[in-house]
Amino acid sequence: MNISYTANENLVTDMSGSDYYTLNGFSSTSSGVAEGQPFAVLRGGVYERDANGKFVLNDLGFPNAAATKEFVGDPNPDWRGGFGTNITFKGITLSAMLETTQGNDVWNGTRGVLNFFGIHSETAIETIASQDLLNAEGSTIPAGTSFRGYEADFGGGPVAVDYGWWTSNGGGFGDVSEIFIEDASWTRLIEVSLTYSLPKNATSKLGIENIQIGVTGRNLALWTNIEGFDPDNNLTGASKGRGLEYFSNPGTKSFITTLRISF
Amino acid sequence: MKKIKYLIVLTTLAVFTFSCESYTEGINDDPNNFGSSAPELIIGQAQLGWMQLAEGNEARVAGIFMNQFSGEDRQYLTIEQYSITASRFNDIWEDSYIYGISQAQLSKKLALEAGNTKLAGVAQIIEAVIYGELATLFGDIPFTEVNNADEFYTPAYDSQASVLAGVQALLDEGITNVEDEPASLYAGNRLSSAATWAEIGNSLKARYYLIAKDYANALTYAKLGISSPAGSLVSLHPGDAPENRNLYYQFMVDEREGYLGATGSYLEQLIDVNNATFSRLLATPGEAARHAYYFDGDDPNVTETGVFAQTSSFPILSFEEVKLIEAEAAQRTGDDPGARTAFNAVRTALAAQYNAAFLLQHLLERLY
Repeated sequence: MNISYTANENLVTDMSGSDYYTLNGFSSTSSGVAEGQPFAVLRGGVYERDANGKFVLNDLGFPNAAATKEFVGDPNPDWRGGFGTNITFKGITLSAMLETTQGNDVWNGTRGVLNFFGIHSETAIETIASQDLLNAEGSTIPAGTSFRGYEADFGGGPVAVDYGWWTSNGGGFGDVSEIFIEDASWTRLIEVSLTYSLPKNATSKLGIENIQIGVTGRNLALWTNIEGFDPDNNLTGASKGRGLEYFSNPGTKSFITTLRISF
Repeated sequence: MKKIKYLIVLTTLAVFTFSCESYTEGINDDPNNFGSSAPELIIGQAQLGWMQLAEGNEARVAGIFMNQFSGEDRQYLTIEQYSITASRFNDIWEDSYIYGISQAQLSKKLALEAGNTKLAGVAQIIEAVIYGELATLFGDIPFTEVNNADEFYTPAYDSQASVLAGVQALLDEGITNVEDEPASLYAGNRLSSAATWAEIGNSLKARYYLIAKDYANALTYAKLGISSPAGSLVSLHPGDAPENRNLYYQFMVDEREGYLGATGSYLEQLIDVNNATFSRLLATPGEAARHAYYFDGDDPNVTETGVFAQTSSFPILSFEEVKLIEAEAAQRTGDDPGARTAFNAVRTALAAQYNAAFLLQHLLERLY
């Protein structure tokens, strides 16, 4: 049995006068370096807030985008851990490996775009307006009528969150990405394998030193709050920038069977 | 025999000596240590910086803000709602300062070193117009401390008024330097105008005096500006190469189809004779032809006969603008007849363009 635990605290201390440098990403949301921030920090658009942290609202009761981008997430995990085991009993060996990463953020660009097009499950909701409601485009939804979306209150009374919001600053093509930053902590059962070695007395008669059969499963289980993609994937590959997600393919799950004969 | 031997030895020596020399010549020049291009070439990059400002991203965003365009998809829906963040303008500053102003300044410096004051004058006019546009769009901008990173790592922002005054001074120098050269000088295959560089410089002076609300000077310089429709300074988009195409065409057809429209724009309201939503007090001849030039249905016209066709030249400083500056400045300084004359010059030009010869007479009959 083996257990590992690592924690890495890092901080960028000198940028030679530069505010921010993009390592990877988009003009809306990127992973980069800035003084006083962890390496590969996520930077993107946020809502405008007043001194008390409340949203600054437009005339329709929806939050405005802030003029400048902010640091919105840290893709570095607080800690990582591993757990492995290897049990042998009467020729049967069971080994398993578990890994976990906790406290790392990801920008879920996929969710933003699916919201924009109204094809994320978050948008598949119908509500009957409890009162006359304004949507983000300024249209009025009369009390008692049904609309595709839900009621929300950003601080100025209830409004209708619907296509008007998802296609502007509530969706993936808007100016705000802080709403698409998610906790990408995950725990994965990386590998489980079960092997059986035939008894020596049975094999030696055949002139064979050893026969081993086994079955291995890889990437068998993943526990995470992330929906729709593998949080261990990095959109920009083996790059310095991290924590961005935009329609990347999930990792594969595989099963392997082995038959090993030694002479 | 001895002589022949001498000859052979001498010839061989000579051949080796000279050939070796030419063989090693230039071998110690470091190819990675760039020199500089000719200012006649660099000016082209500065001019592209101006074209980009007049025809690119900033023109599209400003057009949406002024309801001459509409943002219809993806990121442009947010612009349509006037939501804006600082980073949306990063590329304007990059294009203007790095690819426009700094290249104009470099071109000016090299041209002056070579004693080519006319080219320096063209460079000064280009430099001035890019500063002028930035000050107009953004207010206070870096001006006096630009392109001197050793001394000013983060240049200070100068006030809009002082930048516009500096732009006038740059234009004055430029106009003196270009003498009476036509605008075809150093225009390459990028720009075209039948005016002179001095007329272009004066037109720009009028533009920035008008913006600074100095109407007397605006009037003076507008009268010295572009004086005929053929004098309009246009960007050229010849050929089929994707990067040469009209920038609106590139955006609306090649790159981001559907983002930029003109549904319900003021221009559409003004000239769409068939739109019953807006009452028309006065039927204007030529409007149907004008509408057909600007619109394809409700969309900006990107077809071969349209304003945003692939090869359509784009006016970056037009005769019409100069005449309308003259009209406004005249009117504001109390010269109504002068204003009317300038205004009617635009009408005449429009009548000629849209084949509506009776437009002016028609209007005058109705009005007077």
